[in-house]
Amino acid sequence: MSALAAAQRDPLARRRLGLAISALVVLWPLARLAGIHPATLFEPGNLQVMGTFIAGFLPPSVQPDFLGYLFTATLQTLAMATAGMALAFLIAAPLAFCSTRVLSISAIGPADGQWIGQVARQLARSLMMLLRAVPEVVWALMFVRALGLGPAAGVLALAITYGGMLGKVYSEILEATDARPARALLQSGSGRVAALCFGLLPLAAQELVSYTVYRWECAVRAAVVMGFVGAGGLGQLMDQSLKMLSGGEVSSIALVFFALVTLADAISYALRRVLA
Amino acid sequence: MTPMRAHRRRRGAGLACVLAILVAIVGSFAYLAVDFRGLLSEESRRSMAHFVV
Repeated sequence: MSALAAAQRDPLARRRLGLAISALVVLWPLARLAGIHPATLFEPGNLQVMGTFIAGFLPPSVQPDFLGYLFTATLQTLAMATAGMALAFLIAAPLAFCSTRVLSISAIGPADGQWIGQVARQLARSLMMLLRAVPEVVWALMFVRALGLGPAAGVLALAITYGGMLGKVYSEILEATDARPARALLQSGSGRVAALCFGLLPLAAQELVSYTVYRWECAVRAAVVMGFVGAGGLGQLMDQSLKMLSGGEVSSIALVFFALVTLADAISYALRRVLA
Repeated sequence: MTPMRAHRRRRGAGLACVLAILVAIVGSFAYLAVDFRGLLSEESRRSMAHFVV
């Protein structure tokens, strides 16, 4: 029996336990330094304050006028995320194409003017870094000044930030894909676009689609946040309701937001199945 | 179902999906009626520069 127990014991158990303890030893002081005190949440005074705050949100508002505004804001948020992602894709695709080393002619051997390719790749990478380094809310604040309140600022802000993110990840996915088909095409004299379309995309399509759809889901959430800085949609409606201390309206918006994320998840799953 | 028919059905679903995405994108731009020409005006460029500086 003891021999069986010894055989079933995880040979890495001690190592894992040691790693877990080390992680705790490192993370605990960091949590204290960051001011995280979970016990504070359960103090009776705080529980009462939180309870009163949450009770203010009930029941959700179902006034016909408000529901009309809510429907319009929801459509606006979805449209903002979709339009922003479409522009982001237009920014990301050429940048990813430029910065993917697997698709360079120099990847198959020495070539004239190799340094031009390296400079172009570095420029594309730097541009993607610049685009994604600034949060979308900051871009939105800047574009609101130029274009005024409304969804145009949100669409541009999403396009720029997500363009940088998509470009970087597309490039990394293409780099991680088996490069042999693309290299064979390049060596036999085909162009870089053909090497991308027939050598890399068939292998990487599922991952590319999956990541793009996931980013669209993120864009829906980001579109809500950008509403708080005047870019329209659900965020702007929530901001107005919070300022008017209308808890019922806030909870209705939060419920719609939850439904939206669930819908985005379902669409994402369906698209991945069909397009991949 | 024969493999050929399954392949056709799959291709049809994929094309329908791509078409739906294109319709969603065009519909989004039409619904929002976004006009980016404002970005090129002198006043908006000045206000953006003021924000950055």
